Amino acid sequence: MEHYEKGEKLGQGQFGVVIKARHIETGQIVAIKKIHLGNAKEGINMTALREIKLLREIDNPFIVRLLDVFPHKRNLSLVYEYMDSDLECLIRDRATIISPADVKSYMQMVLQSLLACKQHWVLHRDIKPSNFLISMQGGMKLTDFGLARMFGSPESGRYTHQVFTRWYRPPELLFGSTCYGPACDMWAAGCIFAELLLRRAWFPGDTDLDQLGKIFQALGTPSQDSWPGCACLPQYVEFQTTTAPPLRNTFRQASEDALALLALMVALDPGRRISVEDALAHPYFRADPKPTLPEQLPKPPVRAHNPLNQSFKGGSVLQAAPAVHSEDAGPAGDLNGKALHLEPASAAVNGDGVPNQKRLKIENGDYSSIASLSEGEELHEKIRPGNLSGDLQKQVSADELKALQEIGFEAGSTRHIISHGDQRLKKRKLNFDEHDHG
Amino acid sequence: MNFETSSHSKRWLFTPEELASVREERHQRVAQALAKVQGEAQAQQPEAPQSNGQPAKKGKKLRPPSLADEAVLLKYYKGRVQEMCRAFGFPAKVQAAAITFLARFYLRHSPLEHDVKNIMLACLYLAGKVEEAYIGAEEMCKRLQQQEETLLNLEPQVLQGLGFDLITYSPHSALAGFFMDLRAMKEAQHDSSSAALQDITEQQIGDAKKAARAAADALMLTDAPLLFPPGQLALAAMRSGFNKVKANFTGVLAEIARKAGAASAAQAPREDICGTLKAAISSIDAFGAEGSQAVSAEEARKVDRRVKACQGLIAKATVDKPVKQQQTQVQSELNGASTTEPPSKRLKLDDI
Ligand SMILES: Nc1ncnc2c1ncn2[C@@H]1O[C@H](COP(=O)(O)OP(=O)(O)O)[C@@H](O)[C@H]1O
Ligand SMILES: [Mg+2]
Repeated sequence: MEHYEKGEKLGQGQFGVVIKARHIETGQIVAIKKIHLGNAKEGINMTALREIKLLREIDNPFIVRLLDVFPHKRNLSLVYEYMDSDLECLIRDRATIISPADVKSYMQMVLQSLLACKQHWVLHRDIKPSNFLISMQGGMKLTDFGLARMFGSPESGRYTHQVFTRWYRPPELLFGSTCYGPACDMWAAGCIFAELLLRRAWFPGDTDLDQLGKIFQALGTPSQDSWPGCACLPQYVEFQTTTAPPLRNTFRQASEDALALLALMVALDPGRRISVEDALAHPYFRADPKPTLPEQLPKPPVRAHNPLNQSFKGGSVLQAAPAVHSEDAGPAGDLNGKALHLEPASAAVNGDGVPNQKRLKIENGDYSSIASLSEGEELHEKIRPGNLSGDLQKQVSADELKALQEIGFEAGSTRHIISHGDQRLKKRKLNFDEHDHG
Repeated sequence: MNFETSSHSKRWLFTPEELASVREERHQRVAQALAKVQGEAQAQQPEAPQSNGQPAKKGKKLRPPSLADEAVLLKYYKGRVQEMCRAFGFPAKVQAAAITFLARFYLRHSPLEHDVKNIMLACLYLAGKVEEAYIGAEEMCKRLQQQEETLLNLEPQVLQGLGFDLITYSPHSALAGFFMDLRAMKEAQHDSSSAALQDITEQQIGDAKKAARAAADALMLTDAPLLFPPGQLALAAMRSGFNKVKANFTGVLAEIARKAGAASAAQAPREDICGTLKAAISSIDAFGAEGSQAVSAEEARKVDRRVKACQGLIAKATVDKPVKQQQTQVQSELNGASTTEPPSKRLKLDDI
């Protein structure tokens, strides 16, 4: 740690905080994840070990680089290349326009990441927008290998089906399969494709059963023809038969190629799901418009991992994108209980699609009142809205950046969503123990 | 994971010369640190007679164990890992990973710095985690009657000693692959006239497989895994298994070479590949012979006493001097900078 100059907190991972830091000798900006000791009796966290084990082996432009690892006390710090934002922030940011050519470019990068995993015999098992990190230069890389596993060795054995954030979990896992392959990551990539087109999650299930319901509602229930053998899966549940409405009904603007590829990526039968090699070779990527060059992609909004996020719960951001989850915002304790009155002011500027930079300015202007409520007067003086043009990263001081992040764009993970959804579709036939592992 | 691009292939395979020099350098460093500690100890109490009446000078001249001695100790503990894995019912990949970790760790560190027994336990525990065949620290320690704390405290240091490279390739997995290929080749040749493999019976194959696994276990106890890729180790083990059951391996090797030739981009002629493999196998055979010779507890205990004596000296040097700075200095000389537990805290190695 003595080689690094600490910066602000970037996010809260499942098993440790992530902070920004600068390597003192080289000046390189990095993200450091400090793994905290989860269970003192089991030593170093398994999730961290998996991440280290796999990232040490993979050297690929579409996978985030693990630059260094060092022990501190009985724990570890993982040093990654710094990334400015992630795909979830981008998708959720109403002010950002994502053109069809941009979607194509993002999907190409998503698939390149998947290809890298497959070439290294790795199942990622947590493919979702927030695990694709984006840099200001436009490059996108996959991160978070904490659930990943190797596959393909003769003694691989069985896998758990309790992986993936629910919204991105493929149907074979929802049915309890413990014997699956790279097609599971492809399903999730298909969900991301849809999400880029829709700007909201395609299958925002509330429970595992509801998840299947939403999937079948869109894609039809599986049959002996469309997915042979699915009825034999350990937790198979029969749903009332529905046929798939045309994808076109949901994706009105998408091109024919795009929908053709999407359909192949979300084939219910993992055996018929398109391989990553074939997906990358799909005509969609060769057709016009050509994928946007990375440096011309929209500049991603800075992340929001902030206690103040909580204050937007139920606000207009959520109304605009009802699927967005808000349980994940930081601990309410950080707010000192004072954030309750912030909603109207911030909500007013947030939801209505003002262009990104302008919106940042406005929010920035608003920040003084928020800051004084939560963190005291200190930050108040430092905010200078005039700075916020062009490349945020270079022109905004650390404190300002932090302030911006704390103002918040809706972001987070889907892990903790608990609500009661539409159960009409389901007809239980088997005694199905409903799992709600978030 | 592709072996060619792996950390195993890039960072953990050595030529014999490289391996010797890495060890020599490490050994020198520790020997010097020890000599310094001894020199200081003598300077401090030049007159103090030993309890047995011998002059202090003579009694204190403690040489660190040689590299050959260390090798004996390591081989002993690698064997213990295999025993424990059998007792726990761990798969071969855990055994191989634990042994590989142990071997790699002691390329960078000396048994004088870190007690081999404790590091072995930490390696085994880590291997279980890495290979997803996890046994809890508590349970493992209960069954081995060891202290959890020791093991868990060492975990970060072991990781660091391994350079955080955790994916290892074992001859056992490669062996499983070759036997699967063999079955496929037999089936493919079934109808053809060139029935080179048909003479080998199912019974023979089963026995050969068992013998080959034992041969791979023996190889794991030697330096061979630091010198040869796991595929070659597996072939050597396979040939050893075939010899044991008196089955002809030449035809099998030719088939494997053909397959390898077809797979490689270079399209080297089959004879070349076959020749290269044969040469590698015969050099590996020497290691196999060495590996099958067990180290007795007696031999290991002898080395261990020397190690303990040196550790004791170092511990004494660091305890005797009241200044804390002194301790860190000696420690860092031993380690070439990185952190370590104070030697005084080490468990006694009492059960060799
Ligand atoms: N390389 C990085 N650069 C910048 N921020 C990062 C980086 N890696 C992670 N973060 C931030 O830290 C958060 C948690 O990290 P992540 O590895 O995804 O943990 P988890 O396993 O809990 O999802 C991310 O959501 C992101 O905001
Ligand atoms: Mg994540």
